[in-house]
Amino acid sequence: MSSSELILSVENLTVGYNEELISKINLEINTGDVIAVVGPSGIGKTTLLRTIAGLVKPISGDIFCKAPKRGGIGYIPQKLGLVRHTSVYHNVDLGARSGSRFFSEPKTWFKRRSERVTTAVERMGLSDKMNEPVRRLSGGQQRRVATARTLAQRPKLILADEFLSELDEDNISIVLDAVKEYMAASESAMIIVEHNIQRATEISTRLLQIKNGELVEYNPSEMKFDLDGGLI
Amino acid sequence: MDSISLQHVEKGKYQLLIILGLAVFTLLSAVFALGLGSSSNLDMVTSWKIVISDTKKFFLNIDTVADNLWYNLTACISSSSCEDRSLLHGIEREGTNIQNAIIWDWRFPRILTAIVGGIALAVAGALMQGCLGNPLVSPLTLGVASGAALGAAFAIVLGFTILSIPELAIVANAFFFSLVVVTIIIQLGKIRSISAESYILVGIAITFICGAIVSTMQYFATDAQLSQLAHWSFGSLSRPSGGNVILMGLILASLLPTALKWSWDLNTLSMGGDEFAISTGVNPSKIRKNILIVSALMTSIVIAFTGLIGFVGLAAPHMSRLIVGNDFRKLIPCSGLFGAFLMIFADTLGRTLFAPIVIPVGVMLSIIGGPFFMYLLLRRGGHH
Ligand SMILES: Nc1ncnc2c1ncn2[C@@H]1O[C@H](COP(=O)(O)OP(=O)(O)OP(=O)(O)O)[C@@H](O)[C@H]1O
Ligand SMILES: [Mg+2]
Repeated sequence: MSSSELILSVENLTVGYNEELISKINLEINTGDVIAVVGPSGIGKTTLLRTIAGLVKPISGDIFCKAPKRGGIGYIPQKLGLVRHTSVYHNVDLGARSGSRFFSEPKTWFKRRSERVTTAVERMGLSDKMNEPVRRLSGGQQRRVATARTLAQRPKLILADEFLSELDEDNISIVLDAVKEYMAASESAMIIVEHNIQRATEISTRLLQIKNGELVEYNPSEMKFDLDGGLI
Repeated sequence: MDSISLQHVEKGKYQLLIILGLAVFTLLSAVFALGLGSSSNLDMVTSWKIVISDTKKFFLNIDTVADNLWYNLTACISSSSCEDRSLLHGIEREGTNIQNAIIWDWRFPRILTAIVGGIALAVAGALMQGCLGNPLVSPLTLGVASGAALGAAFAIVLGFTILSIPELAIVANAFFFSLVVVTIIIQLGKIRSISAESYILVGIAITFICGAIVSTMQYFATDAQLSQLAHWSFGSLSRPSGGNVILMGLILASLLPTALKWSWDLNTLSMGGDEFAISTGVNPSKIRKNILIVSALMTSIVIAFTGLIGFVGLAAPHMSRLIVGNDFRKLIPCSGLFGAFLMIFADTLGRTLFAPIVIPVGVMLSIIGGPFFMYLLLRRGGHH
């Protein structure tokens, strides 16, 4: 990537529902950044992503997002949110549809949309399941459908909540390769919530750990682990 | 999440045909309604002859029509001593002057109001039911209408008006006060923890507050003012003039495309809620806010001119849902057509049934529409 530009900037943000979960969040995220957020269960990782996505309003502070208003943010939820009785194609098409603008080129809209779907499904290694109803897929396959849906949307900022769980090593590398390829081609940024700290350091360019209700930033290349995979 | 399934895709063509049929049917009933009335000067056949021949002449002499329109727009604005020309001025016409006046000056704007108002209220209802995820919502739920009523009461009882043109004073007040409510809705969107339910609850609170203020004013009002206020609150199609209708139509036409543009986003919202919507790339809170603003505007521009008409906005979307299902790309146009048809039907019945007494369309709609609506819903309930 030649030059990186600012995608998201967060100032003095406090997130939470009835009580504060994480406060004093200050972040600047540029294209090419892969930010991993780690922390124990129930600490507020999902809440942070939901706040950035606009699903939860911040308790205080500001979020400035430079991604396009329509389809600029891609969200891969922890609970997937797929339409279970329709096909993989249909589900991925939901993302492709919000990411492609009909009025820019009405004639080729359908073609472009279906190209996006097939490419994304292929990258996730699910081509043979294209017309299968989602409810007949395994947990890991369903997770890849959710990722394919967001890739087909082609967002500038991907928010991925535990999108590698339930996947074996082979599939993890399939998904990571596809996402990295997409990010290189589209100059986008990504925030990943990951409970496995070791994996988080491997895949991220910046690591944020939630400690005592605040974010602490680490450089992943300087991380050391004890035998249990805990942070030293 | 099973509202949109593959079966719907297959049924799509059939449903499009139904929508097309409904459009033609609505148009025909509009023409039919033009010929119906209680005047002893005019029977049905004569009025259809006039309608057909005048329409033909309108298109055959489009130059003269354009001249007349231009004359109205220029000469009449620059000099005060000029009389408005009818568009067919200078062309020999079927029927007597009084017959022409009944059809074109009296019935035509009325039916046009029915169409424009019906479309606006029904589409607003469909949009609001979709984005708030609640089938009980109608355009009057958000409190826009009670804002309008408050505005009208200010004008009638206190003589407090925004615009000092007498004919438009009440309309302007009603519109302005409903805009105040729209502004409150916009501000609500910025508040933390605002959910679909809180929009509805705040709307109900606004309705109560405005209602209480209006009641207080009624308590101190004179008899004449009371009757004027009561008349305003019976929604009626006789108030808007031809010019008013065109204004309403233009505003509606500018808002409709945006409504259709958001129909897919509404689909995702109604399929699986906010988290589902954002995971397919649709921003739910933004969409919800925009849709509420557009539908509130549609509602307020209509009821400012016509007074309170509530039933169409609730019933038309439900009736359409029985035919085309939950896909908003079809539901929005279908609701609009249904709304227009219901309004024409109720108004024509209202002005012919007990002629020469005219029953206001708002009242008529609820009387005939209510039982029919109940029948439809109960019948569907039986099928489940
Ligand atoms: N909709 C909600 N309303 C109120 N409180 C909530 C809501 N969702 C989550 N919480 C609370 O907020 C806290 C943080 O939840 P969150 O889902 O952000 O945790 P997390 O870090 O993602 O955990 P995990 O790793 O288990 O997914 C929890 O204590 C939870 O009970
Ligand atoms: Mg979580």
